[in-house]
Amino acid sequence: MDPMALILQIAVIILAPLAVGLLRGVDRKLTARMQNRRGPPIVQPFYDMVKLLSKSPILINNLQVTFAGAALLFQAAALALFVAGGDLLIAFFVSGAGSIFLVLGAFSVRSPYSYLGGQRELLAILAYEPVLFLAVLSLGMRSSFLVSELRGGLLEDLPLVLLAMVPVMVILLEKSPYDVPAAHQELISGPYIEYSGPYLAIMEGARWFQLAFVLGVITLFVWNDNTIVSLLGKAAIVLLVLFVTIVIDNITARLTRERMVMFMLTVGIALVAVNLIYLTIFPEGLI
Amino acid sequence: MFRMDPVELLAVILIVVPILGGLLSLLTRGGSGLKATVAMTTGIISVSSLALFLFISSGSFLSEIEASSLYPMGPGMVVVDLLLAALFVYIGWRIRSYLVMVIATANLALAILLDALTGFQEVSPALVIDHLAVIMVLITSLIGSIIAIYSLKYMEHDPHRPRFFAAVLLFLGSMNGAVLSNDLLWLFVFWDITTLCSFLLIGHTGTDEAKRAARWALTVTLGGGLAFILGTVLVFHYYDSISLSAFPISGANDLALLPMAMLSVAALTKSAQAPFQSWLLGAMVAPTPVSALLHSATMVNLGVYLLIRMSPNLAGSPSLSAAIALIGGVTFLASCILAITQSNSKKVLAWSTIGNLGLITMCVGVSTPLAVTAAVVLLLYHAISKALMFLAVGVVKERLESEDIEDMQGLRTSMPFASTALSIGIVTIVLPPFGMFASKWLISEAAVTFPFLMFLLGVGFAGMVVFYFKWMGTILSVGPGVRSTPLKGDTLGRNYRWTLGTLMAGAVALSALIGPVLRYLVLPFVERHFSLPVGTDDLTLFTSSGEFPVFLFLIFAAIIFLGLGLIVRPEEREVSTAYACGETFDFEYRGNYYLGEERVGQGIALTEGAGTVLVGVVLLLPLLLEVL
Repeated sequence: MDPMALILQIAVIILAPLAVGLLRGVDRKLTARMQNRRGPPIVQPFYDMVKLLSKSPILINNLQVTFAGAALLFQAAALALFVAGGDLLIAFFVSGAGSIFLVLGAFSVRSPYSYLGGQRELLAILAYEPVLFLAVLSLGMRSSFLVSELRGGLLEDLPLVLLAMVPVMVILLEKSPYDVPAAHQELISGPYIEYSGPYLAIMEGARWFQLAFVLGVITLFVWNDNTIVSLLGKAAIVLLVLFVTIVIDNITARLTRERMVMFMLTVGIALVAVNLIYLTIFPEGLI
Repeated sequence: MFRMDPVELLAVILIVVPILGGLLSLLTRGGSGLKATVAMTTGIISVSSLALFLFISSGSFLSEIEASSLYPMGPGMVVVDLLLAALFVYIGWRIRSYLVMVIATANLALAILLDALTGFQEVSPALVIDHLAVIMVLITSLIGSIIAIYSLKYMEHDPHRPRFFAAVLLFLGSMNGAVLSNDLLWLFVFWDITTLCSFLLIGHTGTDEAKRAARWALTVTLGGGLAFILGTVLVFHYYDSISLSAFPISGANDLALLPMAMLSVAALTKSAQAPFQSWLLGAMVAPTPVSALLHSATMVNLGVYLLIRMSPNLAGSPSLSAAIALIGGVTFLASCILAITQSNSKKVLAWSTIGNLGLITMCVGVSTPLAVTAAVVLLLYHAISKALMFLAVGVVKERLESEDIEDMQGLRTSMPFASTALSIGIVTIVLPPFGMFASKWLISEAAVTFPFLMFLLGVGFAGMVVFYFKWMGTILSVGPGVRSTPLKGDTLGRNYRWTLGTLMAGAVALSALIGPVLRYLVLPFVERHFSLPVGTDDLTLFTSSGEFPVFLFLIFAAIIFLGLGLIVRPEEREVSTAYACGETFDFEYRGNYYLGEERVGQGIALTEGAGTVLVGVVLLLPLLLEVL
């Protein structure tokens, strides 16, 4: 492989989660502004991260650390596979395994909040995974699942699939109305509650990698032969989806876990289904 | 006449030795004689199955054996067939089931009709040993042997041990016979022997519940047998020979599809697909090794084996295979959702088996090369992981006297060995890059050609994650202050350690060897009938639209699970207790089944309804195609 390309890929794998950190800062700032607060500086997530890492490590059992490490490494592997142009479907499954390790980490401690958080995280997986899976399959069904070979015209063909990705992002970013697993009011961070200091930082890092991968999937919807236009378009679509998510967060209240699952398994899946049916009847695309 | 070539000899050993071993164990009194018999028999078939694999993969592509060289098996089969049918009539009378008697009588009548039609004509060849048959023989002989050895300990105190092991060994022999047969009459005889063995084993404990379950299992699977023999008569009528290899390959789109539709329905009953799934769920009252045997090494595999065997023939008729794919898909989705609602570990596993067989059925229905490859891979990896799960549950049940998942809380500290076995079982079933994951990936890619199935798959996979990891979470959940027993301190007996250990090592090793498994076992079969869908350089799998760096991920997983455990050694002061907001009440770690009994009942009724409609479609399609 071309050494320049390799260096570029490694740079993207390192920079993408950092960009996600920055986006989370932007998210907090925007949310604060919408609520007429000043909000923290947009680099606050990095301050938090540094602070967590500098705290003394406290844990409840070893298994917790194993699962935290596994979550981080699996999410990182999914992103790496994605950036290296590998199989999108495999990357999706590997990232899914990462979120399962989050659940196992929560279950490995006998704590009521952690246990409830784990159960709810499983339901969140039941809610968003099918839609994400279908989105990945729809992206790959035209030619190939290799990220390096996915080219062009996806947004025009699959606008409703992109729309279905919005509630997926709502769940993954733990936003209202589907901030079910971490529910701050009653579960106090749910699956994360028994992690502290550097171990919490590892879990947060795992989340950054996961978000980087899923946002990466969203960037696949946009493609232009001109690299610069293409990159701008990808950035724009990511920011648009995030903005919509933040708006939804600020105008809704949390719904129950059942409502979350039902919504995703009916409306979320139906969006993809309608899109695919339309595409079968009108192969030229919706727009 | 006795100058057989080694492959023929091995095939005969694999069928005859377990049957003889079974008869021999009836003569023992359940002591060391029985142990020796079981050990000898399982040893012989294990070695023979491996030898058969080596012969087939090194030399000949496939091996055909004529009935004449197996004399007197040919005429013997006809006699056994009639005796067996008569035996079922007698059993029906004994258990006071008119339904069984009616089915068995019809069976007998059709068997006589078939003999009259064919005029005892021998099919050439009688046995065909190809790669698919070898895969099945390996599953039955190796996993079946491990289960039999395990049962020696598990059934130690059972008063009817000889009867039990006779049925187990007969089961293994007839499974081997069934998958090697090319003559449909032979296949039918072995098929019915497996029905008989499952009936005997499910009802083994003799309790009322067991008797009811055995009776229902017999009714359903014997009904399937009726569909099979009816199918065979039709095969002779339409294809002029009752040989599996004489089925038409391409596009029979008229009444000539009827025999295959009939045989497919027979396969669905054996593999417990909707609407026939209830017999397998009832069968969980049997001793745990029996469940392991039914779910992984024998019985249910036979149905999907027949479907995979017919997949090249079904591929030519899109409407029939679409209906079969839908049956599989619906069964998969329903079982993954219903498994979430169960707290009994054997019931969860039963639904999971039904679901995975549904996936295989679905793949056969999709009938692209990729899908058929996925089906065979899934069959193989499912067998080993499911055997591991059941045997581990058996060990746990022996200690806890319960098979309820909620009683397994904190099992990680009290039974580390069994917990490891359960965890490895779950991980190899669900997570990448282990075992069944490769087939999950292939199925997902294959489903793209049949978009409706993508939706069933997506929800089903997520449901599977929920019920398996809820279970694993329960095992892991350990209260404060409990020091975990090291693996070495586990008091589990030697028999259990070795059988579970072998399966664990096998499941992980097979995951690493997916490349060679594909190259030497699966692809040679697929290649004979389809264009090659998957490539491998032993470390990575390639399809036309994707690639899976298996080895890379395995090394990765090994680093995580072995490495992190070694690196992280917390000091005492770093260990804290769980946080509960200052509350001190004892929290009940229970529930989370989401659907009440009523909803579950509705779900099952819905599944059975959909299954019945689809089976009706399968049977009526040939007629419709003929008329149109």
